[in-house]
Amino acid sequence: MIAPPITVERLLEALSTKTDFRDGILGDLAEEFALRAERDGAAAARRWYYRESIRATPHLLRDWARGLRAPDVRHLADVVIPSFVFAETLLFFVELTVVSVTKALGFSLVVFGPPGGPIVPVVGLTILAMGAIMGGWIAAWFDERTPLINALALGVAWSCVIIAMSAVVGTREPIWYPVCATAMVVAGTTIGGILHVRAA
Amino acid sequence: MTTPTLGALELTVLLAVVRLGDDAHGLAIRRDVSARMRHDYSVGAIYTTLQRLEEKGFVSSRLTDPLPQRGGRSRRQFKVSAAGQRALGAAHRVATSVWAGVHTTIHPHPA
Repeated sequence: MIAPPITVERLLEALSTKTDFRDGILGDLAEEFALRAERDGAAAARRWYYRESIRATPHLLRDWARGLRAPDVRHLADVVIPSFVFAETLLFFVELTVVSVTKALGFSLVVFGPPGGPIVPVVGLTILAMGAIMGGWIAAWFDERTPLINALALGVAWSCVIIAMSAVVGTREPIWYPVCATAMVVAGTTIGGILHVRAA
Repeated sequence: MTTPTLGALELTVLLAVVRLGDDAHGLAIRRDVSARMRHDYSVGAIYTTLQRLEEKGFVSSRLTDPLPQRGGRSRRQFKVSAAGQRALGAAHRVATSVWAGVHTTIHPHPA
């Protein structure tokens, strides 16, 4: 009997805590995958599984959100805050290193200053994306019950911080920079969470 | 206290549970509903509807032993409760009343 794609199954498991609802969905997907693999072939069954997994995702997230209680929110905050602090600290030192090294080499690369050319924001966003991936990985690692939820929560919280900072403190970068930074953070933390789930 | 009502998909799923009897589990229900409605419902949509029906007290469920073809997970067998049967009866009465006299003027298969 052919088993469904293990990575996708793990990702779906990572989107929700263990409930009858989640097991019902994953069990049905596995059962129908086996039937389709026998009837239509493994490749067609895998395509069906990928499509159905995407369709099942909002229902799993909804089930997780419905079961959310005050202690769970506190627990999520306990995961998100240290992950955010870790990622921001890492970013700070990476930026400092990039600025110092480029300065020592005889040219100035002010990563988060006014854009002097197209390369500067690209460097800044790349560093931010790397930090977000690392942060997502750490958030997923902190709690094995809902690793992908933790990574997504970090991405959302981090984005809120970027938007709030841009609105309240103001930014020297053009408006597209915080918009791109928000997208990078959400995508990066999600990728970090997926990488952890795959490796686990 | 108001009696919970049935939505369109809830009614279809509840009827599928009645029709399937002892074989009323998620996969069979989804197939039955998708075939009759001519729409490919997702696994999540059917489970969300079943969960809502269970919360309204219209169905009850029990878990079977873990099955290898489900990756070692149990199957959930659904059964219509007395409240569910009453809700179906009420829905049938409403539908009959709403459609009364209309069938004579509607041609489902126009020439």
